[in-house]
Amino acid sequence: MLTIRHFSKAYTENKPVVENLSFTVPAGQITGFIGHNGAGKTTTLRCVAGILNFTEGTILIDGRDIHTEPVKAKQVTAFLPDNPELYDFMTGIKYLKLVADLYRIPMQECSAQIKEIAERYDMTGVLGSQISGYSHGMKQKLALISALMRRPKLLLLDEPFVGLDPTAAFVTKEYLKEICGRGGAVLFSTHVLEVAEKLCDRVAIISHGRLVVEGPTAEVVGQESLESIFMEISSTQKEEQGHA
Amino acid sequence: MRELIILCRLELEHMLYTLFANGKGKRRRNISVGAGLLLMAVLSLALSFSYSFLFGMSLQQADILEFYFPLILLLAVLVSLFFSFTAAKGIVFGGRDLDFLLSMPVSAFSVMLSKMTALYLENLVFVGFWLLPSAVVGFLYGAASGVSFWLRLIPTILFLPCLPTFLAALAGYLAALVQARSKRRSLFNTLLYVVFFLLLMLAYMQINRLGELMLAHRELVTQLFYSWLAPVGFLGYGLGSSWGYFWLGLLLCLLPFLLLTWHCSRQYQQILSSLRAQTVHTDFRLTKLKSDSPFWALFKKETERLFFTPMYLVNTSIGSIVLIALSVYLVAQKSSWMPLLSLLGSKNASALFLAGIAFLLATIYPSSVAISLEGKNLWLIKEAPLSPPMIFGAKAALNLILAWPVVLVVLLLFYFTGTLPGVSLFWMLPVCMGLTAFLAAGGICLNLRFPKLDWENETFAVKNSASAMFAYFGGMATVLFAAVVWFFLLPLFPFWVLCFGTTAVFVLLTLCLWQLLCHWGTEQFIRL
Repeated sequence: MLTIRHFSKAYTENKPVVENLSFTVPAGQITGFIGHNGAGKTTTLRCVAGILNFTEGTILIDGRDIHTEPVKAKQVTAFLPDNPELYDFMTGIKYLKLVADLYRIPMQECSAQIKEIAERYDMTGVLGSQISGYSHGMKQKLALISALMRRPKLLLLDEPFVGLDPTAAFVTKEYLKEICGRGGAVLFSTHVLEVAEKLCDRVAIISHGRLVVEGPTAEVVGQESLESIFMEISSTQKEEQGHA
Repeated sequence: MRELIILCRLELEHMLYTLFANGKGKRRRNISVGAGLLLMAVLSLALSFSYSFLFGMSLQQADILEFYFPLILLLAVLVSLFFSFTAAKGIVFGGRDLDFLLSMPVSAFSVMLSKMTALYLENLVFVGFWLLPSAVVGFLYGAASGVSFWLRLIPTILFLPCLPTFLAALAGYLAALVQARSKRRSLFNTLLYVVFFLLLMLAYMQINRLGELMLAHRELVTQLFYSWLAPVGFLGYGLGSSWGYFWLGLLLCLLPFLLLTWHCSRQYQQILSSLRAQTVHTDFRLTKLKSDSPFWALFKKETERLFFTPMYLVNTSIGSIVLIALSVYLVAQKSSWMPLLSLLGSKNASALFLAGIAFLLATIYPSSVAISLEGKNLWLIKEAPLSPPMIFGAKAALNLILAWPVVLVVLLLFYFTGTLPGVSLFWMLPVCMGLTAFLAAGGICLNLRFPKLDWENETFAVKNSASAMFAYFGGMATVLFAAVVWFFLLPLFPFWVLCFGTTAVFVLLTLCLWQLLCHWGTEQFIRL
């Protein structure tokens, strides 16, 4: 579903934020994207979503290159940033309608989806209020509704569980499994390693812009825990950096 | 005192940061911003010189030069108020750093004073550009003399901006207070700004008659400058002659500023809390929704942002508001200026009207800040499956919906009131439409070239950004250039030929800009 090949991204000339990253997110699987702060996770997700530009490497979504066929690639993708800034001057329902119109989703089909998902997130009653009055968690839920109602083939989430109450976190996990169940794929970044270990079929660990390890969760973790694997990788990287 | 200096420095650095880019590789951009500021300075100086000569000459002829400096100071206050009053609420009561600042161990008075200082600095720029040439003209006409005049000028330039700052902040304070108690905040805010703006416009319309009013009511005017207009009156008389009046004038400029700062600081947290309190209702029921096309959805989003963001609406659609107000005023006062117009002849009169309308249309600039205003929401439209030209089109259309209906209404008004010949008015329409289309596309290009996405308050994107400055003053310069060309060609060609030619030029330029947007613009947008 998602293929990243030799992807690099630098904000300044001197130092790349992501270097020569290559991995795949197969259809029907949830892939966890893990790394320390500043590792390059958000940059990678934003480049895949078509928000940030990049000049090195290839990103294919459902066989479509994000550079040459951006509109078609984005049509099947949904992205949720870590801190979703939404249009404060709109009401929740107007925002959802805007997204539905931009993705050319017929309103009849969309209304049913919105109804079902909003009810599960307990957001139906507040959709008529302005987003400027929403709490962070409510904005997060609204952004999730807007992503899920599109029934995307590829769902990209940047720290999706931050700010969500336990019920909403549970509902989100259910939806991620549902997307994979119908042949879609999910790539999400998280710092909560227990969630990644339980939920993800695959993990990709990135450190200082480079992919360190990638593969099925069971293989990567082995007999240990994901946390100990991550700590091991971090200390190894620190030592290598110290020597360099 | 130490905290106050730190906070004031913070505000100054913030203002400079919003104007100029930081970091390597931004030298060219900073040079462009500097060029924009220079353009603004040149136009302000030109405006000041024109008004100063006009008043100096008429007051000298009537032997009432003692009114020169009070009048010039009054104009300086009104001009800077015109530019700063819409920003006042955002600068003083807005800003995302307020949470941080108020959590620090600094007094609310210091925070408030530092915010007022930011507003003061904005007014200082306008007052400085206005007073310097006016002072030279006044000195030449003999309204003042001696070295002491130049010694008094500098404190005058430094203290006078306190007045428009006080007035703008007062308007912002009242707007914030009432808005905090109002359910329909955005609508109320918009209406309040429009009313303030129309009152200012009314005052400006009387300015041109001020010379004749002063002649006819010398005693009354003197009384006014000693009473309601005492700060500018005393300072003006003090500049010309008396040290006593001078010091009193400085005090009358400073005191209201400090008093308002102190008063607002006592209620600062209360006002801020009220402004932030938003009710979220929980009784919404999903009803049937209708699908729209992606372009229409984008356009609706843009218009909703425009009409529900008062700062954005009032500042970028100044031209529309003034055009309607001025047209109504001109039609109402037709009998007083029609004889003058008939002396010019139909052709010249039509050209003059067209120039006036075009000049006001050039001050409509929402497309030049529409991309900046996406700010932290930019990810939404970049993530969506939309082509950049579609996004540009929705933003450019904002200029058109603000300008085209207004132009049509104004031209119809002039036609039905017999102000100008119908044929001339008919030919004016395509010129105005072509001009606004060109400025709309140009605005998008400017915004892509000078994006300002990291704003904390819309004020910085709408007023203090490079793209806004270039669009506003560049639009005026475009019309000025066209007017100069028309000045030479009007005796040689019929009115309709010039209109046709001008329309053709604007349409061609618009098409060229659109091509540029489809290629270069798309690349720039992807890089944002």
